[in-house]
Amino acid sequence: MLLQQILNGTVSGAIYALFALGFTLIFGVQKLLNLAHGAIFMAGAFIAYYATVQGLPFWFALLLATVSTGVISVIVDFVAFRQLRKAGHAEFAAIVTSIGVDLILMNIAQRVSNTKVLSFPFGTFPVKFYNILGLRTSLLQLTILGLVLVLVLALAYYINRTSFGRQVRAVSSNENASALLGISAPAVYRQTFFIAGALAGLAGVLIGLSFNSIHFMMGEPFLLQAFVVVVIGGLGSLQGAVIAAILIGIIQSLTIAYLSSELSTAIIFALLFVTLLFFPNGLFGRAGNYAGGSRR
Amino acid sequence: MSSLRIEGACKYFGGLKAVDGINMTVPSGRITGLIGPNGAGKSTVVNMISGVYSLTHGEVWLDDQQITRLHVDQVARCGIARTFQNIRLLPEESVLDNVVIGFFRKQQTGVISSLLGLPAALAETRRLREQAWELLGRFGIQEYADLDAGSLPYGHQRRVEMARSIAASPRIVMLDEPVAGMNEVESAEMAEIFESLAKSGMGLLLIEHNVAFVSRLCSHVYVLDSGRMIAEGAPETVTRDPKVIEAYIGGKAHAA
Amino acid sequence: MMSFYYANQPLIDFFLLAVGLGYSQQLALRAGVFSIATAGFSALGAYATAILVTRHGVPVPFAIMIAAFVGIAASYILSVPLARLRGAFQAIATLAFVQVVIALLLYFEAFTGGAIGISGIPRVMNTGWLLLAVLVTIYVIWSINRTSVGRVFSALRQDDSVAASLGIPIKNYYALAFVLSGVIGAVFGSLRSLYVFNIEPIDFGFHAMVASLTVVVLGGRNTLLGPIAGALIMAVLPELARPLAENRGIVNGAILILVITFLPNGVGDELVYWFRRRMRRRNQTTALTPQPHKEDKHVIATD
Repeated sequence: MLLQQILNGTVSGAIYALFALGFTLIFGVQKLLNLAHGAIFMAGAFIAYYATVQGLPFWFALLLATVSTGVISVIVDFVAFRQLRKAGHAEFAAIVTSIGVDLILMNIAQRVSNTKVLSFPFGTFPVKFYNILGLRTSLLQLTILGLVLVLVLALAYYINRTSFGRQVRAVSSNENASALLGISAPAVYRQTFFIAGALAGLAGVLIGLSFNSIHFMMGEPFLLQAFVVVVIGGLGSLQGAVIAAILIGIIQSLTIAYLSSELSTAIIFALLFVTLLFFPNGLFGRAGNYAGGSRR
Repeated sequence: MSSLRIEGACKYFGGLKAVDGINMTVPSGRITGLIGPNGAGKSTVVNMISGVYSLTHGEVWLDDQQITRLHVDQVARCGIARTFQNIRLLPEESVLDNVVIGFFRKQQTGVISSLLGLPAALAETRRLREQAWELLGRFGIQEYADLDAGSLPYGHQRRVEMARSIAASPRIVMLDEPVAGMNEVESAEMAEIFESLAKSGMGLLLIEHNVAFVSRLCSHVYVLDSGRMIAEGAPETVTRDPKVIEAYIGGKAHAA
Repeated sequence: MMSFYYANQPLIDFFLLAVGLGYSQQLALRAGVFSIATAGFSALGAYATAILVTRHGVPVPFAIMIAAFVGIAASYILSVPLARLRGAFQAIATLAFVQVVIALLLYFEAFTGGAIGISGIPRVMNTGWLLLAVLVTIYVIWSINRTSVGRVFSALRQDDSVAASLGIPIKNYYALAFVLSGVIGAVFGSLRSLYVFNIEPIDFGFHAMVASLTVVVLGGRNTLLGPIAGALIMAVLPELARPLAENRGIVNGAILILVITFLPNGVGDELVYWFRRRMRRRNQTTALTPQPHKEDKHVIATD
């Protein structure tokens, strides 16, 4: 029972990781909170659902959702963040504009779905169960774990081993200086937003599939969850986000199983609070999040 | 007579020894100079005294009170004021309000009377605005009182910042490159103000790399180079010290 | 006048509640505290009042006072960890606070009525009382603006290291701003519960948070007029855009983006600033009449 819950928690944690990675990537490169990330996640589930209903094969729907949400995310950057970067009063304003985008996307989804809860047609993904060492697991769970592992490794490679990672670091530390080095900041932003959006959209499809429930407000709890994940992992830290996401997934599934789901939410957010109190930079963050008044 | 003393003060950033074991005294009623080439660690010293940086070793004393570990606001409340090398005004406030906020330490009415808008609090605000207005006059910038501080030219912003720093009549004020960007005439005006402040009993620490300006004003000069105090004494002896000359020429050669 | 009032009475009452919560949100922001906790405080105030009045028969005035104390206590406790954080982290922490409040309201069902909430709250509030509450709030904030606390809040927002270097105990003042935000939020939450018959956790969730933030963004973060202007727009807009009712999210979202991008100070603040500039220009031209042209140019150049 305990091990079973830990397994289930790991699977949901893996999906949270996809979501939180994009969120933390955007924060890492431009220090802004993107509150529209939850709506992009929701859009992924919606696109995959409607593609599947149209009779497209699931793998194609998944791919389509991933690419489309990547594009949507780039558009979000263009609409909500680009002007603010120019004006340079971004931190507060970004929260507001991204809430604006969030409202718009949710409204569109609400109209499209007529406020109904949608679910993928039966058999969209083969329903198969396995017993491994007494643990019950499904083909879907195994696929999710495998997929997330591959994606996280690919992202880690992309960030740490290619020139893109260096460009991201250059732009995030100083946009003007990086321009002198021939790095195009807008291109870096476009790429980060594309990757972030694509990961969120993919997470949306996987969540829609796992819980078999898709609705226009589904992004909200995941966005809030992502806050917890990225704060505990350290805002801007990719490996921190992955570890924290899986940790949260496990804690959540254990608290829901043994306590109650409301208490689980309270515990997770209380955890966020405790982390902020004792590790203001998260468990893996390095950024100087020092508060004024005390000596450095 | 009160004085600010730092004893054996060190500040290391990782392996870099930004300030390495310096001793210094800033007596009240005098103008003390701290000079040195760019990057010598002068501003680091100001930040160590004012509570921005912690000291790796050493102590800071104001008279017989140890202030080594006090926070920025506590140091200020002890009566040590400062200006910033890269001028920091409140950009959205008017010039006058930028000076009014400088009186904070001297305010007598409390938070409650402010929240309730009691006559005492309102009267105090009126009084402080008048005092700030006079102070602007002293620095020759009354005509800009209503403008946003951020919109002033550089030299005038320095004056606003200095007016703010001395508003609460501190015991010691540390002025970080107060005449940078000013011409001869303007510098002379400032020099006059500094002398009258010293005469009124305030202790001034001038941080400069303009040796001539410091020599003219200061009774005692410290010379910092690469975090070490290489000379101190009367301006005329210090400026003839070969180590100082070398530091300056060497420093300039580096910078060029 | 009276017929206008009778026709629009609920709208006016909700406008007043929105103004009150807007001031709670604004106070934190103007002191540079990146809080979005207003919804959480109003939840605490509303539930404290509702529970005391419906279950324990506490007289309404006492219930409101206790709600205020709950707001003060919660915001004071919360201000301690908040003082160690900055910017985006404060926003996340306060958001988490709101989530914890709602999760607990859902969990302690015996005490709070769970998801159904509390009903049968006596409706003792009316336009007059709400107006009085808003006026008292305005008086306090007006006082702040004209005295020392207001100066300190402005300094904190613009550069808190400068504030510290002037001897201002910045953590205490951050806490003060947050506690003021908390008590105003709790009181207006309490008044709301005494107006709407029943309250449930969902009234205080993400949407409530967005609503009070919107009021301040549209109206302005610094002036007294800000939340009034913001709440007015939010009250009138849905009426004007009735055909767009189904697309309210799109309209609200677009307005948020446009206002913050092109009018970052908000409508109310911009109006006040424009008026101040006009006054200043008039003063200068009357004081130095000979060359009105030159003075005009001077003012324009420096704004």
